Amino acid sequence: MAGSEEVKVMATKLFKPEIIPELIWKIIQAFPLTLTLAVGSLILGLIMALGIAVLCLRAPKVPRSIANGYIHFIRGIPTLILIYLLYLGFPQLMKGLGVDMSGVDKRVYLVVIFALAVSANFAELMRSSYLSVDNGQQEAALAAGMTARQGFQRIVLPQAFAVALPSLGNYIIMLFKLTSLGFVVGVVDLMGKTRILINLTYGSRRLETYLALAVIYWALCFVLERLNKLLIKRYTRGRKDLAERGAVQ
Amino acid sequence: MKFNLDYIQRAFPRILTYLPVTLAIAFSAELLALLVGFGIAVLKRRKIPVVNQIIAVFASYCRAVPTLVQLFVAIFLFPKIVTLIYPTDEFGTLIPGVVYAVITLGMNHGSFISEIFGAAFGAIDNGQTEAAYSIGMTKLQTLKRIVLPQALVVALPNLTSLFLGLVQETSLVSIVGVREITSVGINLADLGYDFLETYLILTLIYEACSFVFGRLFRYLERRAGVFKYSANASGRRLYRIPVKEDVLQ
Repeated sequence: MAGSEEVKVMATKLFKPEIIPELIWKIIQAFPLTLTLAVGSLILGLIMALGIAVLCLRAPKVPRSIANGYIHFIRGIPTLILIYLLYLGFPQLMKGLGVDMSGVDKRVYLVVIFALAVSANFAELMRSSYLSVDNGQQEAALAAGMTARQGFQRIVLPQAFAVALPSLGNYIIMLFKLTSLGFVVGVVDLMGKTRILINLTYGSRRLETYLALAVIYWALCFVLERLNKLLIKRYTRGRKDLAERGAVQ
Repeated sequence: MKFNLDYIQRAFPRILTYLPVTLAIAFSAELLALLVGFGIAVLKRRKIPVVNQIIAVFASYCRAVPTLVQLFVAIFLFPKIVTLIYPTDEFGTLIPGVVYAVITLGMNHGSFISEIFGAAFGAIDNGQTEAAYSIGMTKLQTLKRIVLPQALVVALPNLTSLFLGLVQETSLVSIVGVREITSVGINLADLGYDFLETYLILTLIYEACSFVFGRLFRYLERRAGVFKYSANASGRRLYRIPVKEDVLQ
């Protein structure tokens, strides 16, 4: 049994913050995959969301309620469970139907799953931003002789985009953090690489490695946030009311 | 495929027995988050030089680092801190991991809740406080009878969606080794490769939680609506439910 002073010394001595920079360098090697996952699911998620938002706004009653139900369903399920359900459960279902899914790449699964997970938020964002633009804008465009399409493209869409921009940035940051769950299926993204490094040292550098990972995410999100702020500033220049409408609070 | 109904009958009650654990984690984290959030919101209004910077760094950490990474960092960092404060407990092994998980989730959500409280207090017109003082109420009375009821009305919808997110986030603690519905489900699924059935059960449980708590809080919001007089005038109508990332800008 070690004395209390010894335990104290051990606790502090075992922690070596000086190896964190080296670990950061090692972990960041896996950044391309995280970026691929994030960008891929961002694009796919936006496409899905566009369809859902159009359904919510324009479709007759039945498809509309299906779209609304989809949004509620996705919002109610933890992404971790969605990953397990679609990565492990879905192939079982397809196997039963006679389709072999084992050839599909893990990364493809993840991109689709993350896209599904964020599509509900994106769809609601698109819908609410569109609705926040006053109807009079489109009517004025029509009155000025524009076609409905021109009115939407030149008048409504730019305003709706400015309203959506702050939240869009938040959702992209959310999606980016979400990709850290990908390691549960065994891909080597930032999180997966971290786990590998920990296993290589038999778990003796767990805290340092996770701290290194936290620093990486922190820095990346900081950059994303700055970019978003810059974009908002550029896009809402001279349109103060739009910038204010975009802020949630 | 054959859908293993027999397995579902066995597994469903076994997973369900751990639902109280999941809910206990969620509620205790929420309680901690409300306290931390209120504390931070009050501290922030005081604008104390160093404290404010610390709060800003903490908020940035909570926002930028994925919750899962925060959990890992906490699970390996907190025991070392416990050992330093209380050396007879060798490496904090006396405290179970679930405590660290709850503290992490609570602190994380607290930083988001502080923003909600801050915005809610800001939404109450100064005239309300002044009017209360003018009829002779004390500071505490004013807070309790005038400011807090109105601020709560503004804050409640956001608090609701944050809590629903928190219930989902408790699924992450399965990865850091806490036994709750997700980890129990994963164990059961791995035994007999009944992935589809297990994750459908888990999906159902999480969806039910979202639905029930969503309804419950909406009822509370309606009940609290009696205080809505000025809150309605200054609070902007929200079209959509914000996610956590929306709250901290």
